[in-house]
Amino acid sequence: MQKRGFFKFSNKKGSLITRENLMHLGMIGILAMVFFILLAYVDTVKKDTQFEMLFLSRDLALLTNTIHSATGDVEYTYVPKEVGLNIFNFEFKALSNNDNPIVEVSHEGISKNYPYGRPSQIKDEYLLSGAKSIKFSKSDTKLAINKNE
Amino acid sequence: MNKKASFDMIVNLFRLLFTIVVFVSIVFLTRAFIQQKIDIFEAESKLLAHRIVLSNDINYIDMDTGRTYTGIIDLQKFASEDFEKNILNSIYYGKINSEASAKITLKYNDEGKAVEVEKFYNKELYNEKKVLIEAKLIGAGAARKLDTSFYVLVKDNNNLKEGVLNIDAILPNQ
Repeated sequence: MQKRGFFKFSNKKGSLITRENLMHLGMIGILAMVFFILLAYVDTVKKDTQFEMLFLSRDLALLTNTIHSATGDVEYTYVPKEVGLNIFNFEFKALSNNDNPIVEVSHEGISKNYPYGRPSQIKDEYLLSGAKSIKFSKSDTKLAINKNE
Repeated sequence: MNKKASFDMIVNLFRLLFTIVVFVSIVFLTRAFIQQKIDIFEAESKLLAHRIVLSNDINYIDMDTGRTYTGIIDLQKFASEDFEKNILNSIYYGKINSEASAKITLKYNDEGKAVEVEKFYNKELYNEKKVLIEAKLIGAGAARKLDTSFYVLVKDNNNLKEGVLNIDAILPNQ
């Protein structure tokens, strides 16, 4: 045990007080560190677009399925309120190895896709980017997908 | 080290441990509110059931007007051998469909006798995943099942009979 503490109070009682204060300072330091780490983590999650891509791929796959299921002609404009579309690229295509139709949403090199079912005779593929909304037009079994800027 | 110092050290250790527990709880609580997964199984399986019941491969189509009468099942179409191939081409997920499957059962009364006609959408996948459902397995490689029933009319030649169309949709977990 040091006879002289860090501060001017160098007697035994002083060193006890010093230790106590250092303990408190340490706790406050840890608390501040955890707080800022949590803040940085939440900020990273907020900036990350992967959740939006997951949501959009699933939402568009369900929507395409629904439009194909309707009998007769259908026209629908997709404008989600929760997320903006203009930063993402949308691709409605079939995977070459198994001809699986998928909706692929991509942004800055990362992509998420989800499958949907369509009539087997439809082979059209679409690539949209910078869209404010997406318009689906179905007549008979043909489905046209276009963007509105 | 004297007795008082060692007592102080033990007390400080407990304080430190308690503080660590509180911090860890705060971190876990924060992470618990951040949602990263989206589960659309219920929407997707109900959509598959509705897609089957609204399909031109199962519903009666008037030859003169070309109009589809949804909810009126054409028994000749449904009972034909081509039905399973046709429905698979109408709801096409690829050459090998590993996304969706269903068992379609039509029950109706024919002159007081209960009749049941059973068909499948993607029979191979249905039989494969049924085993996992019966074993009550969960996780990424497992599957989930949802039963949906529809009250329908069954058109047998020119007769209309009341019936129930039951669709057991099995979808593998994504």
